[in-house]
Amino acid sequence: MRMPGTRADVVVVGAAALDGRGLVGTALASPSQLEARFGRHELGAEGLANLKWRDVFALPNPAYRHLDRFGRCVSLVSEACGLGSLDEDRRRATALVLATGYGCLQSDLDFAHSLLPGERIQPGLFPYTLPSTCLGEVAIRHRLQGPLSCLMAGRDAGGRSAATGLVEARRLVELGEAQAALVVLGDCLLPERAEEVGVEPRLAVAAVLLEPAGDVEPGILDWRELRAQARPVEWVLARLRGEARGD
Amino acid sequence: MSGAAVHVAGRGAVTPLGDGTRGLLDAIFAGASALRPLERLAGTDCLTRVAAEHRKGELASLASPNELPRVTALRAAREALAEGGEPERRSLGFVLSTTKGDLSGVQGEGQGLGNPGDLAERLAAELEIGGRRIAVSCACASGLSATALAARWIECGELERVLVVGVDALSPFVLRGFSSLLALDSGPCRPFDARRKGLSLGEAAGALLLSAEPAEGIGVRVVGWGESNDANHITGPSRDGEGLFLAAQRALARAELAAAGVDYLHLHGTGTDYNDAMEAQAVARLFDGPSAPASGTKAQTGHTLGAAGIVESLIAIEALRRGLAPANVGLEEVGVHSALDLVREPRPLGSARHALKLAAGFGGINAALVFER
Repeated sequence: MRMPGTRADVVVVGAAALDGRGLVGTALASPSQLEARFGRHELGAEGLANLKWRDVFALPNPAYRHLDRFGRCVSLVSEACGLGSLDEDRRRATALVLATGYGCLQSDLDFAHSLLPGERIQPGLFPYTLPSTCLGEVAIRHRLQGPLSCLMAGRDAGGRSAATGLVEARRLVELGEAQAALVVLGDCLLPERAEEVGVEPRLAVAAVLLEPAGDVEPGILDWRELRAQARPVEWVLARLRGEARGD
Repeated sequence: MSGAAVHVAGRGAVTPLGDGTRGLLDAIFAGASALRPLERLAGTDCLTRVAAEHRKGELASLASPNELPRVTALRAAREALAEGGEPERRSLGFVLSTTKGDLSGVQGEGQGLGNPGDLAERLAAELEIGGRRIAVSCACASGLSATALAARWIECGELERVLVVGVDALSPFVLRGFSSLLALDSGPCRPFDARRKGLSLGEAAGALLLSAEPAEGIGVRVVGWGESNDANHITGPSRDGEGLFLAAQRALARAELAAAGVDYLHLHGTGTDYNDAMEAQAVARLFDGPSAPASGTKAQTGHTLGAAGIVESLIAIEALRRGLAPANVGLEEVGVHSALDLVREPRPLGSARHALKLAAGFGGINAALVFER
């Protein structure tokens, strides 16, 4: 184990991403498992956000149905990138970093709607009006006890927020504050709520799992290439789909 | 610590307790409380009658309460920059700590959309800050997480100075949300008391200017930080305090300090049954015996959410500077683990050198900072 203050570079040891077309990930039995189950047709934003856990994974997740939509997306990509492969010691020191443009706007609007006259307040939704809450769900499922952070840099489509998230996650590993880091990038804002507030709907979420370079074989995605992307979520999606189809 | 030192070079605050940082700190050490009957938010359908609201008079020039976060954050930031000698802004880093920021568009007209990143951009533009900028939204641990992030930037030698601002404002959205979780005391909260019934909310802005260069006047450094997750429950803390213990332990390790070297402990102390019990368990485990003199100040400021970590860090820093621990206001009968040395009246700390500040939040987040004088 490295001590705080010692430096290590990182490699990407797992990755997953989803959008309206489906979910792909290095830890799925088949990287195109979800697309196969539903056929190759597009699920659409609403369809994917409403996916049931058993549609994707065999191991039950009782918490999943209580999650808000962004939380479901985060949960899906976290599972699909291979968090389950971490050993007990590493889990205790795995950092979780979320970098997002809209954050929990979908849940903010859903909760605000529940406060309107004639509507019924939804207490269970209120904790999800914090963008970091969905990371807590991932931490619970995988017993991750490292640092947890949610970073937001304006509403750009993942660019600057994502870049910052990747850099800060690497820093936690480099400085020895974490032995691994899961970085989740992206947004889930569905068309109905987006239209309500006059912004573009967005459904694209990716996750990459970072470990110190010296501890593992070369990564499944090139860290430097990932870091250089202006739109890393779309890049991860394309790379994973490309591998899945043997491109 | 292996990198550059992280000095506190400037402080700022806008709270209902008084004017600026001085007003806040004098009121805290005098035992005053800003928890009062709801005024601006009177009539909100919720289970409490009190909160620490900015006074109506201060809002006279605002077109909408949704402007509160921006206006109060700017005022706190400018106070900190002034105390820090008006540092050059082009290379200044900026970290905003908030939970909801500007909720316009979610409640009422506007385009704030509760987006912390968006508010950070606007504040940085108004303050003409040209360096790296980001918002941290980690529930009620946001302030300490934001400070840790800024400290890393300085420690790594990437930035010379970083301004950290914490802000949140009360709204029907927030009041009704906490009320729906049955988390509010109907009257003023009583952290760590046997009869505590929940938290009281507050609103505030706080600012810390951090610098790689020693600052005249304040004489306090950030020497340790640690974060963790409970991995236990989304809204309830772990009963054994494991997560908060881990965060504190990590902060002390970074500071190269044993728990016995902590002279003062500033607690999260929300006044909810589970939080306070958990925190006392974590502290008991950390100290393995009686703790350092400890106080929580949310019975005076209310729980100011994204601002809490910054405002309460200002108090912890001042405790070191004055050599005095503020009292736990409202505490009558201790209702948590007896290892927690809860201060009843302001208590002299002698030549105190180290203060440990703790925080926890929804999602199981925990954070801790160590300050050194």
